[in-house]
Amino acid sequence: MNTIEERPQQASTAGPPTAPPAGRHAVELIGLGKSYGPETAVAGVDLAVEHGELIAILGASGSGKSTLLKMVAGFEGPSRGRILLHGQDVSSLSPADREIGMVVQNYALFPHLSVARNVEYGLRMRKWPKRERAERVAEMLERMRLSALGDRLPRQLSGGQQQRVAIARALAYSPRIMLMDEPLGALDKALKQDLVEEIHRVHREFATTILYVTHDREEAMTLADRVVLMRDGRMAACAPVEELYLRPPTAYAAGFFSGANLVPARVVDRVEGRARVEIGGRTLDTTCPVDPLGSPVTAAVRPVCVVLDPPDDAWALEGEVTDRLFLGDSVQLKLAYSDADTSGVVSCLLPATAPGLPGAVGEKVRFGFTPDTARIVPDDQETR
Amino acid sequence: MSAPRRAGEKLFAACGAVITGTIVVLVLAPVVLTVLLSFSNDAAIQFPPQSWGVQRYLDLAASTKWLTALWLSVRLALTSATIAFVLGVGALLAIHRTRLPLRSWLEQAGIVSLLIPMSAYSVAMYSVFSQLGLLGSFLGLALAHAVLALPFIILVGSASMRGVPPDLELTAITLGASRARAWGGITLRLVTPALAGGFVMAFQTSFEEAVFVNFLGGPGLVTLPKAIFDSVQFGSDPVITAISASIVLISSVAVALPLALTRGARR
Amino acid sequence: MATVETVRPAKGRVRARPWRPEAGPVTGLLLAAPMLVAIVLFVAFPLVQVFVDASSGGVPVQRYTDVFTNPVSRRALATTLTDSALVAVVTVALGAVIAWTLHTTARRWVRVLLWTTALVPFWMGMIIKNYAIYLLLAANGPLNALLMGLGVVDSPLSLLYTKFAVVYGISYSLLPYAVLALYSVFVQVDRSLLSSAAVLGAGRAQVLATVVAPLVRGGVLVALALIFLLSIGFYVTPIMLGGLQTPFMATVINQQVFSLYDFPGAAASAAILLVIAFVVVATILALAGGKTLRRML
Repeated sequence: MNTIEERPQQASTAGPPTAPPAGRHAVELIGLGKSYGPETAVAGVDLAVEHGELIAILGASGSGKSTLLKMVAGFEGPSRGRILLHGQDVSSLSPADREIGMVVQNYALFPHLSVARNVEYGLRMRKWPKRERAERVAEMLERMRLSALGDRLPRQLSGGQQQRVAIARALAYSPRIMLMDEPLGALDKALKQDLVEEIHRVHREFATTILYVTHDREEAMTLADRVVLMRDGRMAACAPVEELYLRPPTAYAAGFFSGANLVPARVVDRVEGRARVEIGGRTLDTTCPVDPLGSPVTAAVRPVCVVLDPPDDAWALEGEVTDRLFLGDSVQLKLAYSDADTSGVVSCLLPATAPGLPGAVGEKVRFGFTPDTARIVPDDQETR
Repeated sequence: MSAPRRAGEKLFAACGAVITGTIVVLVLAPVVLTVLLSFSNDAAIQFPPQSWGVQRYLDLAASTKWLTALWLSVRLALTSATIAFVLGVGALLAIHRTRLPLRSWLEQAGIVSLLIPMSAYSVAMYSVFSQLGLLGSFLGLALAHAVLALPFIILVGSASMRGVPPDLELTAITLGASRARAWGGITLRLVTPALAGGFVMAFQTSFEEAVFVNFLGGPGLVTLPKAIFDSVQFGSDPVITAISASIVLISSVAVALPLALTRGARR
Repeated sequence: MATVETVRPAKGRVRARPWRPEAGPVTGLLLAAPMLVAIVLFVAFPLVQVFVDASSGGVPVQRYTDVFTNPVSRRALATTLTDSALVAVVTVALGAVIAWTLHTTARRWVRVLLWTTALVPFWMGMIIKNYAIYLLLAANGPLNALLMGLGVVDSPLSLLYTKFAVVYGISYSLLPYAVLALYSVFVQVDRSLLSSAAVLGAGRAQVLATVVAPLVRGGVLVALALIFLLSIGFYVTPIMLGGLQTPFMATVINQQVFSLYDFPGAAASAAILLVIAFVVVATILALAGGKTLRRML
């Protein structure tokens, strides 16, 4: 009955859509780089993606994340390096031959074709027989909860429905990987949340490998298995989401991804993987991921880890409340500090019910953070 | 606001309305007049008409001279609009979808014929056509008209092509389409309404054209505009009012109908 | 990272150069070639040929000077330029009223009526609209009937074959171009600017003078030049409505070709017109650049 199952590359239910060659990665980027004349857009990216993984490629605009995706899609030829999909070098193939599915911002649904015809488009281009096309379209519409909308035109659909059509169209012919380029970039926050959940469900149910480009760290955090953080055309970090969030490798990653405060620190001494770090005149022992001697370091502290009236085993700073935002369950304070060496602003998130919460702007406070919650990282903020 | 000032405002608005009204009358009067005179049975054109009827339309239907000219004009306009369409679509793709060097100049080249003074252009074309042996040739005249009609295809088509997001085509290609299929099935399909409009304008350009015909057509190619032009110069034939009225009505419907339909669809 | 030796060969056509979203120059040239051939053959070649013809027979300069010294063609040239200037001013002024009303009016019927007015001349066809004006202005036509009925004149005025007839006829044909060109300029004036100015206390005339005029001045100048350019080439109208009494260059060219069989002379007349047109186009481009011109066409 199921003619689709007979095509090895078109397995339609659970498991990776294409039976992966053993020991092969779904995607491998080897020294991939792109230059436009003297400008380097992407500089030598190496990345291996497991089958079924969702990788978020996160970065500010101009960080090279879109160029990276365009090279994988085949819209841009790489200046250096190679792209392997399921172990095959596709660097010199046209996008049509790469067996990829693509979902772009605004979805690029063909406005003159019905939902069903949109979904069928890739199958027609791949010359599937008519009956199999019809079966596959019906199956995709069913799985994307679009069965009732098959005859509609794209402009008659809501934003969420349009996204589901775009995904159904991209996945209909079981591509090796799906590329998503800021699919939620132009949407308001409420709708975004629904669509993030939809993408999460699709990733789970279809078990597709997805490269997901975004500038929004919350999208990346919610969806991704691993995050590739791009900065100035380089891979600034690549780690599982929680790892990157809780233990960012650099100050940039801590600031951009974890939203951490960056407080200047000074390494006084180093003993066996641990370091003595001085902040605000107090020197404490802590772990240190890299050899920090001689290079500037920063203490990265997420706002929830900042405490008021710190105990003796915590670094402490004197400051003044410059701003106070009531956020419902919590209150965000901006605390300006300055001492002999340094000054700055620290943002601090406290439960709204916390006792002794400073009430007014201008109030003097003592605050701090412990070595467990602060992470000493190399300060790469200035390297631009 | 003070009273004299308000009076001034009113006067200003009234002047605007009077000027606008006058323009409307000056533009529409000749049309209405022609239609009116076409339904007169007077032997010669006179105003106001003394008798009414459809005699001029009957004369038109019976006249081989006018019907032959009309048929030639239709064939010529279809041929030249088709030529302009084919040349224009190729150029549009080259301009908007290839890396041809100097492609933006191509767009300027395509519309330059619109800016050449017709009386000078015809003399120039007369000389070239006599060298190429194209004087009096249907195809030659169709080509000349196609060059006049080309700007409309290019202008309308270019504006429309700019409105098609390149993402659509790129997505089609990731879905497995060849570039040719993505062009034909997506991009050109989406600019078809605009190109159809351009085709109609191209048809109209050739259909109404009288100057090239006069210089390049010779005695063998008497199109409708040329026939009317000749007739008016040697005393006018009242049947012309019927032809004019018919053409005005047909082109009004041709213009109004798509507008009405799209408005209906949008609601 | 993967060991390079074991990478499987890819399916699909392996390309020597990377794929690009736009097709290559060769494809572009092939697509554009038909149009390029047509333009070289029927635009570039004729424009060059006119100058060659005018210079043929060993009297290269004399035919050009003839255009200025021969009283008939000198008068025709002067008429062409002055009447075209008049046409440009009249058409742009009337077109501006229509385009501005189209931009500002809130009433739907006004918009429909004005768009119809603006586009009717476009769809009537050159010969037919001139014929219709011919009927309107004829000695026994309705305009004379109206004037006599009102007692303004006792005997029919000869309206045909006058400067008035020619300017009316050409302006009539060019009104759509003026309205479309000016409308594209006017839509860039944000209507909220007008109400802001009114709130600040400016009257309507003051708003037009102080807010609108500076914003649209460039566009209006281009429109004037464009209408002038299109007007100097008119052929049918000067012959049908102007006759020999108000000869345009077109009338002279017509005689030179069809009555006097002086083709090189006609070529010289045409060449002069082309040079004038070229100067006008260059002025427009200097004033506004090609993009504005394209948008206004």
